[in-house]
Amino acid sequence: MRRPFLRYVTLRTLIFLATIFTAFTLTFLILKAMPTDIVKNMVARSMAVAGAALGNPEQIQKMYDMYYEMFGLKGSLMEQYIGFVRRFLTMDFGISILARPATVREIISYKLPWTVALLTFSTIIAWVVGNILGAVASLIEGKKLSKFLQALAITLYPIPYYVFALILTYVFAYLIPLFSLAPVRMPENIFSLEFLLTILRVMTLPALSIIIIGALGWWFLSSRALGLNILSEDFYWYGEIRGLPGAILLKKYLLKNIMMPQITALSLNLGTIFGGALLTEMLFNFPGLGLLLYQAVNAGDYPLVLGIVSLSIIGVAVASYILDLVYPLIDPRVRYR
Amino acid sequence: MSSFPIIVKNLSGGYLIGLNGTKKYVDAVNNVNFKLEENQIIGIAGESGCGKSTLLKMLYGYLKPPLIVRKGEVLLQRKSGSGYIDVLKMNPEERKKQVWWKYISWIPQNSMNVLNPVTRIRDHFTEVLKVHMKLEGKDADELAKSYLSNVGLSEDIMNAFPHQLSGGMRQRIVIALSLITKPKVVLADEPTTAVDVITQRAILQLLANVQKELKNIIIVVSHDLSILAMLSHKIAIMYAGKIVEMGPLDMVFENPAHPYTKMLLNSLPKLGDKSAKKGVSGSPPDLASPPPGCRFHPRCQECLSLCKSKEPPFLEVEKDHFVACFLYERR
Amino acid sequence: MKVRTFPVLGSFITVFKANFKFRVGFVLFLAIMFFGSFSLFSPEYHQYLYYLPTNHPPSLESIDMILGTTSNGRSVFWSLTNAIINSMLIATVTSMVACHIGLILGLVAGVKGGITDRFIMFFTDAFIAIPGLPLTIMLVMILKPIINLVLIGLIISIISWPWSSRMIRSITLSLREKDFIVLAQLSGMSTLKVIMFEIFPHLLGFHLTNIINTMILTIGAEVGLAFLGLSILEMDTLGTMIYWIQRYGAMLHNLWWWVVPPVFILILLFLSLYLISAGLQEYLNPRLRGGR
Repeated sequence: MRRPFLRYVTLRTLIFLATIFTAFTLTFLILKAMPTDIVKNMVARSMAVAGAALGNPEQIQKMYDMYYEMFGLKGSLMEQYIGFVRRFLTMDFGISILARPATVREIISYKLPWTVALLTFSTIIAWVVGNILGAVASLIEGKKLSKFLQALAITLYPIPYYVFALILTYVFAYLIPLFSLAPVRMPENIFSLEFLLTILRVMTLPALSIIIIGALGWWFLSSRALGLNILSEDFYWYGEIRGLPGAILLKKYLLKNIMMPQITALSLNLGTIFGGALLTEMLFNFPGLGLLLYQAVNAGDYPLVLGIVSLSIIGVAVASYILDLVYPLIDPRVRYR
Repeated sequence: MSSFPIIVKNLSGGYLIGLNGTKKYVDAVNNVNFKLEENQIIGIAGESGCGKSTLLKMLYGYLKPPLIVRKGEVLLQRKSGSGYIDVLKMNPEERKKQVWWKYISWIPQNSMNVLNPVTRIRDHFTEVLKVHMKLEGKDADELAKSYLSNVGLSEDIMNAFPHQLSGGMRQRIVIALSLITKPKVVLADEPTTAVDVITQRAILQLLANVQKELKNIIIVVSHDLSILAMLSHKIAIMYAGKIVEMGPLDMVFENPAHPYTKMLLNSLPKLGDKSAKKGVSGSPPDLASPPPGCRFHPRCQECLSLCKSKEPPFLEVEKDHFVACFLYERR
Repeated sequence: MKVRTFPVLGSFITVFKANFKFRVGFVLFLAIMFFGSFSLFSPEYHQYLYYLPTNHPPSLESIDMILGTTSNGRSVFWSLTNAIINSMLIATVTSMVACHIGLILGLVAGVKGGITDRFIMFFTDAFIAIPGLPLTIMLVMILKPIINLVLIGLIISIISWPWSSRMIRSITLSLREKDFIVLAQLSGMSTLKVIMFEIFPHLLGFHLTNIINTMILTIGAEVGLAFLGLSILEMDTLGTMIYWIQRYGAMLHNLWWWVVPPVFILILLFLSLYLISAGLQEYLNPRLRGGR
């Protein structure tokens, strides 16, 4: 392995670790910065909810201990911090009030696959479609279609996309009741057609919402801008002048050069994309972590909220890390120094 | 009866520019005529702005607006030998498929930056070979390697990416690419402008060698007379969109006919000559509104009153040596 | 710095005259703020629940009823006007804090270079990867007892500052190489002076657009948070209005006078801010100006 690559990996790993620890430490510091009554107040409120819900005194005590330990009401500062971080890293937040008697970890791992599926699927499609559309738009720059797409993208882009999601909901759930927003019941048999159809019914609207806003909004605009730049480059002209057919120019000259920086852009935006996905889930009652988070917040289920947030931070950091490590292997300019 | 792979007749063209509502026509190439026999290198010399780059674009058929062709023909002899293709009358798609890189190729000025950064060298060749010669796979690779060695590069670089190679190497690759489909005419746009003197020499040597081997026509455009002197068999001097003198290299250099050519040659340093060099006084005219008559007359030391109003005809002074100047008009 | 204020006003007028988008956006924004300024006159009772008849469609009986009432007996008009001001307040806090932190860090990193640069960027990159929404949700939830408009603004700024920092740094870096900077330094100008008089004016344009864009993002984020009941539900913001609308199913019950105004104002606000930002960007980028 070449030296510069090794250096890159080390640096990136450090940033990865720093991200996770910064987030956790920040939370810890904010908690510590608050007057103790606030914390005690929170614990008390949580315990009240827990008490009503859990009933079992032993579990209640366990929860109280966890809070006590986590929110710095016992032990030295260092011990508190270590305990805090440990819990965040292992997502050990005890029993979820909402999903009792399941632990936070259990309920999260149950809902996680949904979110991962929706997120991966929609993001990848939005990225690919958006980039291709943008590349094509840059080629037909000046023609009516391009101007139309451009105008469409500019209008869609600034509008926060839950508005769009809301419109979709209204249209497809109320007006044309194709998809229902009711909580879904998964058929037993994973390999049945019914299972597949249920998944389709549940996933379509949220996925569509993410894909349309992503593809026609940000990815389209940035890809088109990159495309316009590339079209003015000498090497593109040289490709044209050699009589290479349009298909090759599009694929190997335009798209390939657009994709590289867009991969980096993807990695940088993962946090935002993830947040958007969570929001979409809440709007469409999609049975993933987003909806879970919403329910947890409304029920005052602090442990669950902390668990989901912790997972989010770690998840996004890991995904971004992997993407950043893979990128140099794809982009020849970085790979061969 | 010798054959002429390329014939240019009455070629005129330029740029239609619209600034703030008013349209201006920049007359970049005006009434250019020549026909070239096989197996030679012709150099086209001229100052910046004289229209030589535009001429290349027109010869190639790369007519991106605002470049337009006013009149004239660029004829390329068909490979079958009978008849000619009129480059300018074809529709762009056909031209791209049938003419470019098959009959005529181009070595661009900025060779360092014309290779696709995300494509390997091997693939650069495969692209061209597949599209134009229907050659793929091993055969394509072998051919590419042979051309690479012809330009002095080892076959190891086939797998490399452009940024891994030096500027000089990239230039050679571009030259190899321009020759691999064996076009009859190769256009070279300022091939030595962006490089140091030593590389310059190497490239000129390379061009001369490949031309000798492949026996094609290379049209080299440059503002540097000295490199054209090293390379060309025939030379044409261009001024303000017009060819003012053309002929075999030795004749033009030893017996320059046009006053402009004389000025240019005088400004070149010669071995042993210790006299002070005179630069060429004045500056080229604005091609949007060129001077009437002979376009050089405002700067010409030997200007006659006729030159101010009428355009000089293209006259033969010696065998194959032509000049556009009234000084040589016999009454 | 008295001398500097005149150019500011002058430049504003120049941009206003020059760019269509900016004009439209700015006028629209002013109109919205003017509408919101009526909140200054809001009577004390506008915050009381069930003071007015519930679900009453608009009528001209009194100012309270101009836009009708909500399902919890409050005037849509007074709610809306206050909401505009409050949302803008949050937006202002966030953009002021986040953009300036980003400006300072980005400038220092770009100008100093070397280890300082690496360190600052390391810190910035660590922050960028943190998913904003979950973090914000968690913080607001934990801080609920002491939450207020300013605090929400500060929390949102935690996730907005890294982008500013990155962009400012890259602009600074590219400016640093420009000849006139090198010239200034070579002719003996101190680094601080170089920053203030040569680099900063170029950054100003981006900084302004950045502020406006951050405002847009913040308003959007606040609405997002409000959806989850994580904003300050006792106060009126555009987000909380939408929360209550959703909570009471106003759309299903056809209470259009309650639903349409805040959504409409929200869209207009986004549009106006966006136009201001886009107009400013167009003006600043000579290439887009259309051949001056």
